[in-house]
Amino acid sequence: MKSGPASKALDKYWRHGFVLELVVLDCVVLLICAFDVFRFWLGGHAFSAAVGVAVEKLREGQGAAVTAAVLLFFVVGLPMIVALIASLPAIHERWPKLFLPRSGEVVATHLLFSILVASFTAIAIAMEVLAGYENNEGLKYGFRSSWLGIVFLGQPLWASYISPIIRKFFIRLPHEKEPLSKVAKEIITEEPLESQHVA
Amino acid sequence: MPYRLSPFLVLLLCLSACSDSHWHPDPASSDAKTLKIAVFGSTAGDEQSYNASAQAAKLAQDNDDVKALQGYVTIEQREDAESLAQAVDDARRIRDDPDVLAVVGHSYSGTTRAALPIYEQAGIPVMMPTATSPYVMYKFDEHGAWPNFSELENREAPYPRFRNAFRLIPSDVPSQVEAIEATTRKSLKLKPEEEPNPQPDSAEPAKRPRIMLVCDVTKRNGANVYTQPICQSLLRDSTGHSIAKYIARYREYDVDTVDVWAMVTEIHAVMRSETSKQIVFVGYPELARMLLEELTERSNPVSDNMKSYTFIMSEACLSNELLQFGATLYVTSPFNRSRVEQCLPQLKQIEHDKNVVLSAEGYAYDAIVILAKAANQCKTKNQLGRECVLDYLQLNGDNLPGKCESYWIGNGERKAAPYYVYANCGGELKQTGEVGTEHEIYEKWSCQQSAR
Repeated sequence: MKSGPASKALDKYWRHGFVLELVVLDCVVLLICAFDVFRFWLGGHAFSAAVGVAVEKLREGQGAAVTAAVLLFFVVGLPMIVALIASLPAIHERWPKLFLPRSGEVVATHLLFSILVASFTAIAIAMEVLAGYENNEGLKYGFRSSWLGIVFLGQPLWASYISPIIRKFFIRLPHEKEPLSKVAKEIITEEPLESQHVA
Repeated sequence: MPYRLSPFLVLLLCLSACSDSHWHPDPASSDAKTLKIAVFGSTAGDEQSYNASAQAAKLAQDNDDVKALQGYVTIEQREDAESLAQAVDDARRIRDDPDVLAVVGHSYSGTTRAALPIYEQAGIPVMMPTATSPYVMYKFDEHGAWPNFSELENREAPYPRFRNAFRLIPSDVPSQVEAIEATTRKSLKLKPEEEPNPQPDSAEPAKRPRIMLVCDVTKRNGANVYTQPICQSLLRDSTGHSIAKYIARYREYDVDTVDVWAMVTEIHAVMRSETSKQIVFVGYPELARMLLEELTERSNPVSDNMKSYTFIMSEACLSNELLQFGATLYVTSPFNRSRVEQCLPQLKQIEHDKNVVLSAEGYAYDAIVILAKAANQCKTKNQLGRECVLDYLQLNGDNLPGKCESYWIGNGERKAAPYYVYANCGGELKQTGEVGTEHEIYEKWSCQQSAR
């Protein structure tokens, strides 16, 4: 398994992403979360109430999807981006000491921070709902979480372009005997809606 | 190279797609177009299905302060819960609904006590027109042993209060307790701090009258939250006005488990030697009706006469339906019927048509008006939300003007509010007296004047 192609791919595209800079990025995100908590508290709300409500809602399955998605993004997606950036020749040649792959403590710290950030996402939803709407020239939440704003940034992309491609990718991949790279290229260059039935 | 991004894109898109619109509705695409003031009212226990809070909410639509909020805030009437579990569910729904600006309610102390911690999580201001129990205002573990009500304001270990709760109606302790004591003493023909029927020249000591105290402790609807502080206070012989020494028997009954036959048998036994049978009843009409029905049914076999019974009932029993059994009835109440009739004259016709006693209409109406004033001020500051309304109520607590009266609310509690006594006047319960500061009852309205 260690020398297999899957393991190599994992190393190349994921494990190499566990670098010290990833933890720094986690800390920045946690700072944004802490700032949200402070603003929520300034508004006269109790953070403990938001935690309690978030737990209650997660038990009912409300907000679980976005929490899981954030966790997955932090555990899988973020190291992948870092691995991708680290492998860029311009970065590698200019700052050779940056993005050095680590293991052990860095991985554990990132995993812990990922759980914290994912949990905070569920709490941030509860914070916004508990603050309620304000009605000043239209309804809006009385408290808006900066972190949740970042999390939901990608929503318009899903609806407009990329989601059909990704859907096709997952539908077609198990049936293709071609290499992964070929399938991906083919899918990306196809018209998104017409090929769904082919799959 | 693009394929290397594919897994990442999958995750990114999963992430961006996963918004829970039910739990976290986007204001722009939400069905809600305005904020709401949820007004809880109940028809439970009323044979006419009359709902005082709903009636007040309907009338309040014509108030100028409410009209000024058109397009920003709407008044939404909701049916109140009859059980604690249902009240908790309702409160959770309100808490999870970001367009609720404030709540008026609930109808009972038990349901209000159950709902308040949930409203507090969301900082929703709650105006209480009918919940009177002192327990309602304090935070404590309701699943553990409840504190004695006298411990609630213990300065050494005070229980924190709900900061979002504002009571327009006076608390049962001391207001209603004093009113019950004053009414009972009057009914027993006692003067404050005086033994009964003083006969200094008589050789035989005066016979001390015996009364029975019945306390409704039904758990289903939280009656125990309402009654226990009152009953505990009545049993305490701490002041010269206390009636504790005349209480020959004290009994607690739960509507769902009570043996009515045994209850009435006990009343017969205790009251056997009394010419005037005085019973202080603290609770809701459901148990009161059961008790009166059974007493009436068994009055003939034991040569009893319902007219020999005098009931002094707590404010929740302010219902004409209880007069049909023939017993003398006094009900203590914080509701000033004559004032409500003056400020909301439309209610006179409804009172006549439905044979109801006006009760919480004035307080519920004023609660809506006060919230509307708060919302209007927040609107002018471009801060129309829960936080601003809460700030308004806290800052202006010493003078919150409604339409029927102005309120002084400190620490969430109504200050300086009188209590009234209602009696049977021509087959209807009418306001006859006001309880004064010296525990005297001033007969301000005669039956002839107040009866139609």
